[in-house]
Amino acid sequence: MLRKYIVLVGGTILLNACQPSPTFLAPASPIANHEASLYTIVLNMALVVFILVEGALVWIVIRDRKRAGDEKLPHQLHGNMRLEVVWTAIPILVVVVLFVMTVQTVNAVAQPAHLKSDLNIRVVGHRWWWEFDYPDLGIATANELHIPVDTTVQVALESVDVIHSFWVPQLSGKTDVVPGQHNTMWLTSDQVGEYLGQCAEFCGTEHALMRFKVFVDSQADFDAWVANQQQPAYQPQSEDEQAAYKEITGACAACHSIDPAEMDTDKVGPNLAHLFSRTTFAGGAFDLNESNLRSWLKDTQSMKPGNDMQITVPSQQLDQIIAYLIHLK
Amino acid sequence: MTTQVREIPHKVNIATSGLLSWIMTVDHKRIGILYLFSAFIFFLVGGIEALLMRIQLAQPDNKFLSPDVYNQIFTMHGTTMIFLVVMPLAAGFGNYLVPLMIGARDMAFPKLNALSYWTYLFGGVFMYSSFAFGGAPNDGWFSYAPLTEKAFSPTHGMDFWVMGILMLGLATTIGSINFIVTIIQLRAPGMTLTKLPLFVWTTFVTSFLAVFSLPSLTTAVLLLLLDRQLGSHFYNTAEGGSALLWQHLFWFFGHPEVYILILPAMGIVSMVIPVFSSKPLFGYPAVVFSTIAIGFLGFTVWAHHMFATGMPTASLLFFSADSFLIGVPTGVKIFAWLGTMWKGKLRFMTPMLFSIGFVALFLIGGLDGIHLAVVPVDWQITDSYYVVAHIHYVLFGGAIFGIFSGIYYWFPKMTGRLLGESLGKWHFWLMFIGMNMVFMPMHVLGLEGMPRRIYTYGPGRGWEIWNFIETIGAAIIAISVFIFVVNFFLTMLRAPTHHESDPWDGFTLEWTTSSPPPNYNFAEIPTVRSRRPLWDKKHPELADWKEETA
Amino acid sequence: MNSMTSAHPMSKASTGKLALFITLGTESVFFVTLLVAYIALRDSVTWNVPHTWTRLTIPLLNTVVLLVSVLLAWLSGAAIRRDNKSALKSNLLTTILLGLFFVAGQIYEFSHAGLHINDSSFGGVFFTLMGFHALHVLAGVVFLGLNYVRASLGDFSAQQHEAVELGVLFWYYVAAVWLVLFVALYLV
Repeated sequence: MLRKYIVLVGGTILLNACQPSPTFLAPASPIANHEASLYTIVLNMALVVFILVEGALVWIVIRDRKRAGDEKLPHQLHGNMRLEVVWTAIPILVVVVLFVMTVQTVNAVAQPAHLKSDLNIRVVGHRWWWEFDYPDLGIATANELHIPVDTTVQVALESVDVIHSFWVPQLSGKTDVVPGQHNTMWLTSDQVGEYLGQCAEFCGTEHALMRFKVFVDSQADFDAWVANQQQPAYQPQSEDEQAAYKEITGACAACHSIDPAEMDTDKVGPNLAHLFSRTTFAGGAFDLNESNLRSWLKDTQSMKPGNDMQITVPSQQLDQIIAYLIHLK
Repeated sequence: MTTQVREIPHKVNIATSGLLSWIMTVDHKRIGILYLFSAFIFFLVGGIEALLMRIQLAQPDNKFLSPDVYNQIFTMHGTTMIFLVVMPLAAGFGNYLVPLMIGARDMAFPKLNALSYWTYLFGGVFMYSSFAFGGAPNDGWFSYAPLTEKAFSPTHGMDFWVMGILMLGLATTIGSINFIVTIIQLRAPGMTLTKLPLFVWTTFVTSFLAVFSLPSLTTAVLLLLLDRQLGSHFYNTAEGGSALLWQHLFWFFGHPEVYILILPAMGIVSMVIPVFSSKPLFGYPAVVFSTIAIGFLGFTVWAHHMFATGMPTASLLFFSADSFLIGVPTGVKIFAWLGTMWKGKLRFMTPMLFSIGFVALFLIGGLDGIHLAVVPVDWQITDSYYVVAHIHYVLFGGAIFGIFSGIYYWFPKMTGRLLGESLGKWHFWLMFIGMNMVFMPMHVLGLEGMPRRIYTYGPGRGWEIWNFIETIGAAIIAISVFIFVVNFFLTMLRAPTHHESDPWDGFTLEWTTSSPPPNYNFAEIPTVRSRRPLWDKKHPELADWKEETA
Repeated sequence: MNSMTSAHPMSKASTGKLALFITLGTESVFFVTLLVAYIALRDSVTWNVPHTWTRLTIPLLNTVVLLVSVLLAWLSGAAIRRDNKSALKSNLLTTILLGLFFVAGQIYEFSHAGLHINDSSFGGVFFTLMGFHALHVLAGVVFLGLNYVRASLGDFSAQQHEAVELGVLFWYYVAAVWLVLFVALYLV
């Protein structure tokens, strides 16, 4: 019932049926659902006040306008103690109600105590991409988080540089990723799907291109994904692939690992072991396909100005490297 | 005693006309006009920055501005509008009006007053000179550490920002001490605290807020400067510094700052609405008390800007409850303005339009602000475009509308000329419509998950249409400001047609002297018996002092 | 300060004193927020207090110097209230000299503390708090110095000596801040 109502209100506000926004008003988790319900209640209370007060204002403006030729002075009313007490008391009552609801919802969405069955994830903010580590599963990936449906996910948030903020509106409100501080949050979802997230704390030049996705998978899909991610990276077969492999484990390795289990936050760039199992790259900024990757390796700075990958791959190597990278499924 | 009061003091003026007379002036009225004029120039600059941002965001994946330039522009827009526009505009009105309203001949420390203005101007120009020295500040108006550390912000932009903020903070502190002392010491006989015009009250409370909150900002930026220049690590998290230390220090200033920006505008509206309703302010004591309450509560809510930083639940709830509470005195004010208009004889001249616009828009800023105090909702909408919508309903719909109301209202006082009414009405309506077109859709964008401070966004998230509408709204606001500038020049170029000292049928002391007032303000220091001394003079049979003492 | 203001019928309290009190209020928030930084960084991983930190010779000596100077500052105010201009001058001069001695002691302490502003969180906090306090002591010395010059020119009398009172008040404040900082940085 409540959800239906939220969808209704949300729908009217959004007016954008064809373009699904990453909005918590289309919640895909109990957390976002609580937040959306509370929002809707507060919005409705605010709308009542809005209509009453703006209505009174318009009414007074129309009724009490000075008519031409009317030179009679209005009654010089200085105040009315009883009325003033009433309009102080009513807002106090309203804010008490708001506060009680706030406490209830804060408790309802509070992070549960760790259980053995929970999935542990470490989120590491980098300028400007997201590292997602699964310490218990030995998986390091980037920009695309996979979690199983109906599972409690315990998230540890760390930053290697500045403050970022982890926000997947449809799953949960944001939690800041603060360097030097160990913040935690939790995720859970009851709906299989793909949810957009984005860094929500200004973190420098490419803050806008620090996006990510969360895939809520069925348990079977998730298990399959895990099994694939735990595989070592594709081994080179042909001579060309070997040349590319040498480059990737050589010069590229200064910033990128292709060991799927290497959760090394010192690396400047994301883990490439299963690069092509992902749908986007460069902080979720571009669709991952051969042609985008080619443009990227030719000139990263024109696609994402200011990013740390300040290299140009010579064109003879480019084909080799791309040919190898697309095998990293 | 009385003979000394009657004596018109000789002011030491090095020059009485020409440019030098403005540069060397220590007269509160001239300093007030200098403040207003300089701040308005910065308003145009900050407005151009806003337009550049709106052009960039009009379409998804737009390449009009590079990310680097965009980040400088949005940082300077916020810094400019807050520190170089709204604060000095309020200081300009304060300087011009406070002595006139309390029946004094100048501020308590006229030379410090001039020092305060020139420090402000230098600080602003200094900050803008950074564009010519390798790039402007680019970390946002609240410049969160450790992004501002040398490792992440290597240009000199942040150094300019820090030095500029130190100068502007010094200017405001000196100015505020001057206001407090002036208001305590220089009131005319009979002008007790319970008879102070509301604008004087809000300036008084604002000054206290500034004096006790700015040092926290000073500390914050000084430590940043030491980090950047001498390698200390207060905020350097890689070396054991604290990122949240900056946030606590900054917001302990930053939240009172919000009231520093809005209270003077509330004071203006509380002066304008009674005059154009031909009634006294409804519930004066309650409005004054709510101003003081906002002042005190303003110091206790800073951490509501930090709900997503991983605070303990107890702190979350404390700051949430406190932030709700601050809505109560704000509500009292809105009701008081409605009560003032109730059964009045409303005259819709431009100053009144802007004041009514203030009430209508500020209410929205208050109501969407309530959402941000609801912690779980805040986790969703903080740092999104919802917050951008909220601050602009408060600071544009609130502060700027209040200030334009004041400009139209006191322009004849300052110049002896009335600004054109019909252009004024065009200005108001276009600004009102444009403002809502820009900022109402920002609520939707925030709810739809658009973070603030992004220089670009991808298509297909439902954000395009709202961003496009906002850009059109921004153009409408620009047109309205252009109309105001035209109105200003047309008014100043034509011969003064309006020498009346009291064009609006005003209530308070500033309208008892000529327009513009003489150098010494009052030939004779008036004696005050009520909150509306001029009303009493015009309507002895209905005099306030009978009512107020009864 | 201004001829127009002092003649005003409403001004009973001293305008200068009022301005000074507000200034000291804003200064106090400044020092309190610096102490907030100190408290926030006490748990920092680079909070390295040098092992020589129990050597309190200089800080204790400086504390005594400042307290004696406060007494002399008070005596200078008392002197001019009795119209004793020579006692005013001699007490001001000794206060100033003790203030300069204090600053010299601080400079010695800074260079022998075994700390740098950039080598630990503690170093940053120590130099920042002590440095800004020392600047205030210097400001106080300048203030008292100006008063000494004016006293030498015969500007002050039992009736007219507001600047002396303000200078003395400022000096009390500087000493009070020192006591807080001394406890916070050496004893806690």
